[in-house]
Amino acid sequence: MAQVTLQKVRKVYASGYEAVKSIDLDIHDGEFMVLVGPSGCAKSTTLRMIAGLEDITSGDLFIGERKVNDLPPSKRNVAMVFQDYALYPHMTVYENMAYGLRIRKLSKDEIHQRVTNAAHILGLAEHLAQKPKALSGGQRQRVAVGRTLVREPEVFLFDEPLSNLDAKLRVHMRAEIIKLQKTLATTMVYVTHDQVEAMTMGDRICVLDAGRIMQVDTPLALYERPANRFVATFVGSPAMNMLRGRLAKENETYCFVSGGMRLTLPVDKADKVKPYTNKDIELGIRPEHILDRRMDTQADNVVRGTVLLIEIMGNEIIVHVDVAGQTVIGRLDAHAPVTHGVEHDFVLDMRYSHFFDPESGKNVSC
Amino acid sequence: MPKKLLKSLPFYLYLAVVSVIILYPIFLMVKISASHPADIMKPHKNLLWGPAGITLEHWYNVFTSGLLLPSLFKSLLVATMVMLLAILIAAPAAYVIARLGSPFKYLFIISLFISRTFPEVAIALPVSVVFLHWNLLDTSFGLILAHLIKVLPYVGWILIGTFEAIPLSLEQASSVDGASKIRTLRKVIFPLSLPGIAVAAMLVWLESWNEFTYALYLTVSENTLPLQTYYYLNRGGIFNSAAYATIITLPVIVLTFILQRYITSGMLAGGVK
Repeated sequence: MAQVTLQKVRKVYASGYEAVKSIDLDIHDGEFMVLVGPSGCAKSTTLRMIAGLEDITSGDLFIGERKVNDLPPSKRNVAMVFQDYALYPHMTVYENMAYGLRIRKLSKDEIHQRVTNAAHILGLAEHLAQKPKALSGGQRQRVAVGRTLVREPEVFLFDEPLSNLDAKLRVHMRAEIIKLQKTLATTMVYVTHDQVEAMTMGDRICVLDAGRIMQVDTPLALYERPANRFVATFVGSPAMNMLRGRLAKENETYCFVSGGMRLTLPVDKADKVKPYTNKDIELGIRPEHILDRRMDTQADNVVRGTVLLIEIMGNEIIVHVDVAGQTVIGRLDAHAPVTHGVEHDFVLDMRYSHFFDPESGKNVSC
Repeated sequence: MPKKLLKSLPFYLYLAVVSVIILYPIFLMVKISASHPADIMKPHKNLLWGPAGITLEHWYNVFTSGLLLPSLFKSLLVATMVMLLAILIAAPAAYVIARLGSPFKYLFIISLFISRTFPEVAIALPVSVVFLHWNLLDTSFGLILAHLIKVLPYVGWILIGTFEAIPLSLEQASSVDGASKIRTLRKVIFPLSLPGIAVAAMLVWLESWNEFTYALYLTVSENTLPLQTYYYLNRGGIFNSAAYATIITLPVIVLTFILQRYITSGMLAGGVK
C-alpha cells in the first residue's frame, strides 16, 4: 500500500500538444480515487503516467516515498486493468493470472494459492483452464481484475474497465470492485468518463478538464459545493441548470433578475455575492430544487413556464420548461400534474442555488 | 438429414469441379513421369492412363543419372537457409517498423517494394555481374543472397502485418506485470506472432524452392531442381523432366500440410475487448 503524489506533473507530446498542464494531486494511502472528465481531459494520460506507460515531461511523481519518474512500469509495483482487458490470448486464465507472479519468481505453491484464491473471489474457479476467447465479456473483465489482484501491488490502476460491458453487468461489476477495494484497503486510481461510476465508487473524485484539475473532493462535496461551472454541470444528471442574469439590490434584499424572472436570494447567499451587485452573474440550480408550485403554495420565487418535454422515469419525471426564453430542467414527483405544452408555475428553491462568475466560471457563493 | 445433404450438394459439386481443375495438371505430370513414351506421344491420348501401363524407367534414369542428389541437396540447402535468414533479418525489423509512428511506417512499407517494381531479369543481370567479381557465381551462398533480395520484401510485409495485429496494450500489460522487454518479446509477442512467422517462412521456402530466374543467371554447373527440370526439357527429355517436376512438387505438398495448422485464424481472439 502506498500513497501516490503528483507534483506539477506535465505531459507535452512531441507534436507540442500539452495534454497535462501542471497537475498537483495527493492520493492517500488506501484511498479509492476516481479520475473523471470528458474525452480528452487527460485522465487516461495521467493514469498511464502513474503506471509508467507515458513519460513525464516535467514535475515529480512519487509512489510511497519513491520518486518513480524514470522507473519503467515493471519496477513500480503497480497493477493495471486496461480498458480492452489486454489478456494474453495464448495463455489460459490460470497462466494469465500467474504471469506476473512467475516473473517475481514466487514458489509454485504460493502462485497456486494466490491464483485459486483470486479465482474463488471472482467466481472464475471453473474457468482456470480456459483461454480468454472461451469467456464472456464479464468473465474476461474479471480475469483482468484477477491478474492485478494476485500481484498484491502497492497501487491498483483501472483504465475505464467497465466501459465495454453492458449496463446490467456494469452495475454488478461496479459493486464488486467497490467491495474488493473495501476488503483490500489498497490505494486504487480509477479512470472513468461516467460520472455515475465516479460518484458511486470514489472516496474522492478528481474532476479533470482539458489537462487541468477542476476540483478534488468527496462525491457529496462535489455535488453540493462545486468549485466552478465545469464541475457544477459535469457532476449530476440531468445537469445543473445555468441561467444568465444580473444581480440587483432592492431595499435590503438581493435579487437575481433574468428576463421576466425575479428571484430573491437568501441572506447567506446574498452576503457572498454582494460584490456582483448590478453586474452580470450566472445562477446554477439543480433539477431537484425546482419544485411544483402546488406542493408549496406559500413559496417565493415562483416562475411561470411552458412545459416543452416530459421524460417519464417511473420513480420521477424530468420536465423541460421554457422560462422566459431559457430552458430549465426540473425533476418532479412521478405524479406531478404537468401537461405538455401547458403553462405551469414552478418554485426555485434558492437555498440550494449557486452563483458563478460569468467570466472565470468560479463558484462565488460558497 | 437428406434435406441437409441436398442443401450442401451444390457446394460439394463445386468443390469437386474446382479440385479436378487444380489436380488434373498435377496428375498429368505424374502420369507423364510414369508412362511409356508411346502412350504420351500418340495423337489421341487417353484421359486417364495409356494401354501400355506404368513404367518406372524415367524415374530409374533420374535416380541413376547422378544429377538428382546434388541438385536436390542444393535446392534444400538454399531454400532452408533463405527461409532462416529471411525470418531472422525481417522479424526484428518488421517488429520495429510495426511499432513506428504512421508516416515512417508507410515510408518503410512502400520502400520494401521498390526492388519488386523492376522485372526480375533486369536485376538478375547486374547482380550476376557483381557476384562474378565477388566469386559468388555458382555458389549456394550467392544464390541465397540473391533469393533474399526477392523474398525480404514479402516477409517484411507479412510480418509487419502480423506484429501490427498484436495490440500494444498486451505489451504494456506485460510490462506493468513486471516483465522486461526481452521477456515480453519471448513470452507474449513471439507466441502470438508464430502463425504469421510460419506463413512467412512457408512462403519464403516455397519461393526459393521454385525460384528460376536468379538460379539461371547465377549458376554455371551446380543446378537447382527447377534448373535441372529445365535442362531436361531443353534436351527434349520431357519424361525425366516430369519426374523432376514431381520431385519438386512433393515437399511443397508436405510442407503445406504441416504448416497449415499454424495458419489459425482467431489466435488473437479474446485478448482484448
